[in-house]
Amino acid sequence: MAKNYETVMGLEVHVELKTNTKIFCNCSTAFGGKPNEHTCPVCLGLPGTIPVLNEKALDRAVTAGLATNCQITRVGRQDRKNYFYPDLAKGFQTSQGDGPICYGGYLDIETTEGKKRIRINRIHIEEDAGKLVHEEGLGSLVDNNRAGVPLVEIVSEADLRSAEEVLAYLHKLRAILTYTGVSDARMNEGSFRCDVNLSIRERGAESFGTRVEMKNLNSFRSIQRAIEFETARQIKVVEEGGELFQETRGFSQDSGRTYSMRTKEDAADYRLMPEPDLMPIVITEEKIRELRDSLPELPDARKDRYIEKYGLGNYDAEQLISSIELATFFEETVKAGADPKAAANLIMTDLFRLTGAEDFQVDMAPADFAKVIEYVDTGRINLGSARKVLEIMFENPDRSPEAIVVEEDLEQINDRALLSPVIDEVLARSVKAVREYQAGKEKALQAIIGQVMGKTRGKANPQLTIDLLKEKIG
Amino acid sequence: MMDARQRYLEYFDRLERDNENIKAYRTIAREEALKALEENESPFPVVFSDQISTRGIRTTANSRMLENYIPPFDATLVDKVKKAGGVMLGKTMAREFGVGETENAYGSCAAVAHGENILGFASDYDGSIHMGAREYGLFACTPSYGSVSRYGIIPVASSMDRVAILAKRFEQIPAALDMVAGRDERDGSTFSCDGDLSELEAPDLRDVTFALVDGLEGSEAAEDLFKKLGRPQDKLRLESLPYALPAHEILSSGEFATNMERYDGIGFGYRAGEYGNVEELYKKSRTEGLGREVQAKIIFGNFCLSEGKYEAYYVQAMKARTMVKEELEKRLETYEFLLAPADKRLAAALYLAGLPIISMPFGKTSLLIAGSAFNDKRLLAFGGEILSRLEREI
Repeated sequence: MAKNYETVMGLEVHVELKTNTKIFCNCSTAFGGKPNEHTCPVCLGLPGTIPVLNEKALDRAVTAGLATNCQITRVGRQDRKNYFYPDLAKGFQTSQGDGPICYGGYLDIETTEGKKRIRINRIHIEEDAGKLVHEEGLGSLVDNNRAGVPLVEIVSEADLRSAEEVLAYLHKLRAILTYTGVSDARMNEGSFRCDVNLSIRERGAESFGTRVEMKNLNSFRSIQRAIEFETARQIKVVEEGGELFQETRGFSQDSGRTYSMRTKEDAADYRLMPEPDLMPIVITEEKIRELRDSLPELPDARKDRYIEKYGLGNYDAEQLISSIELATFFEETVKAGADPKAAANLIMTDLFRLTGAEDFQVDMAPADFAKVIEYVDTGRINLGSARKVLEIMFENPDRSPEAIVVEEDLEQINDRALLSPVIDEVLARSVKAVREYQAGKEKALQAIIGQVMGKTRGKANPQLTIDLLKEKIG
Repeated sequence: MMDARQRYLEYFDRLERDNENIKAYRTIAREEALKALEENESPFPVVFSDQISTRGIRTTANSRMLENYIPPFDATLVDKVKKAGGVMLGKTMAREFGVGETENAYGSCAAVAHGENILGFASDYDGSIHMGAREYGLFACTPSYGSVSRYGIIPVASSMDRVAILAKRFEQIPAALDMVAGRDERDGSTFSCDGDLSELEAPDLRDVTFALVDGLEGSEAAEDLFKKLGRPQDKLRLESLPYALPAHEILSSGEFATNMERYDGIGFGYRAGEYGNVEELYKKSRTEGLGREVQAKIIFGNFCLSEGKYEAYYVQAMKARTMVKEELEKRLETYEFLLAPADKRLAAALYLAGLPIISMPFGKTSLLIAGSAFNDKRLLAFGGEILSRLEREI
């Protein structure tokens, strides 16, 4: 009988800061571009060049800390982290060792067992590296467009116990970062990257198990799968009497498995030392006050407002605040006159199906979306037709709901006189189903309703259909 | 009357004959100089050590590693000198990357000594340029750390590197410092200076406090000069001096080791001809591209930074640096200026502290004067006064 294990996790999240220029030079941080288009002597590390800290990047890092309840240092230091890798032009990454910008914060997540507080150990600034491109016939080439893009690394304490908690933490963190304009936090563009430190221990144990660091997790789905696989792997090793090693593991999306990248023995000694080219970072009270005052309404405050003002449930509210785009779309829809609950429902069912909850992006106008809700409310269309309208609007945001309903002939049939003959026709052909229903088999009715919907191309008013059916065969 | 072009042409002819003997230049920039000459109304000749980046002109740091490196930009100080009318004669020899083997560690001194009114700019991280100046009978000045931009100077140790100004005549130095000093957006350690340095007000020596640093190599000769200034009793010893060289060696090696990491054969610089994998590419490129002494300093620096050694060496050395700096600053509260022979340990101490230095040759000896940080203008004025007093006395 397997013992009762628990998974213990801490996260290191790397986030690209939203600045126009790089952390130590004036090159653009724009995503994409021709290889090495956004480079200069400084980010290429040419001899004699000197980094100068981009104040905007520092502001963003402080904002990230303020929004996650961190302490902010008054004097910070930057350090050189030395290692050889072809994508690292200077042979060291400028990062922070003992003097991070922010430390000792937390954020709250919603879990199935209620609210949970996850502590944040530290947030420090550092620079991104370049990228290796492997070209057939040319070998490996270096693209330094990303070299010197400002990052913060947000390190949590080992407070997370399940994949569910990890995802809730990441969603909350991403929401905070996008609300505050700290980052675009796009996983698909690499501006939000997560390493998971994972160990297992017997439930109730005080000490931690041997920790494995998992890298290359480039989607929420991968993170979840990697956690599940790695937990099972570690339990199996321990159960079989084996030994776990401190190591770095990657995750293969194809096989769904984690694999060893390097063990502790091959780990580099980074020889951290104070960066002598950069002056100490001095953060004044005034600066902190200024940044604190300019914080927008944060996700948790917004969630509370949705619950109180709109009467939404905790879960729904948590979903809606998960990105600033989504929350804004929801609020604009309500502002256009839609019922908040109906709007929330339709967003979370039909819009999430179209755009995905993780990267909510729609071009349709919130006012048009509100119109669709109104049509459903007034019985002009049913929910099935509403889905069709939204699909069309999603592809063609310029087409109005009015035009779509008329041109696509989606108006609901609410007239008994029109619907009655259709139902008679269906009943005449469904003798067996009718008999079953009358014998007490409720399911049979669903089949008959389905036929009515088919006959009317989904336009029949569902409630009216049920009423008529019950009158005729009930 | 000979026109400027003719004079420069003749000088270049002489230089090309003599360079093999004087071992001053790595690169002589005849064509570029003649072109610059035409573009300037009041041109004057300058040289830069080969660790200072010059746009379009190879800058090797005296190393095989950068044998073919042509910077796409000028160091800030080069840019300023050019704009002021400086005509670069060429790039001068120094130690490999400032620390290694060379044919002449003091190529810039040799170049300045070879001409009549050539200004020299050389990067220096330990004050040894003042020994070179003494050897060649030149005036030298290392302005306060942060008064001249380091942007474009290939570093040895970023927290100590400074540019030194070299000249045959003392009067050339204030104008030269004026030319290159000032805040540079590209170097966060720079500050703006206190106005025009070319107009110096000579202080009355009776109003100035100064002392001789005793117990150094060459103190006796310096004392002979000092006695002529009429205040033989003002002498002091620096307690922290024994820590200066070890601290300087450890910290500069650590910084040097990481500054040198970019020379990996990937982006620029020497790349080994044959290699099996990237690890071998690094090793071979660095082994073949860098000299033994450079490699030794990198290895020592990495040793001091490595896990388990960092606290014992690097952190201790940082503490020693603070101690040295604090003692010097304290002494400079009592005395406005410290006079001394050009001693290696004292020079290391002054470079750890980033204090401004001038040195003046008197026969085989030289007198070094240091002041408080950013008191460069007063230091030069004081130096000028000391010089004229001693010249009268000798």
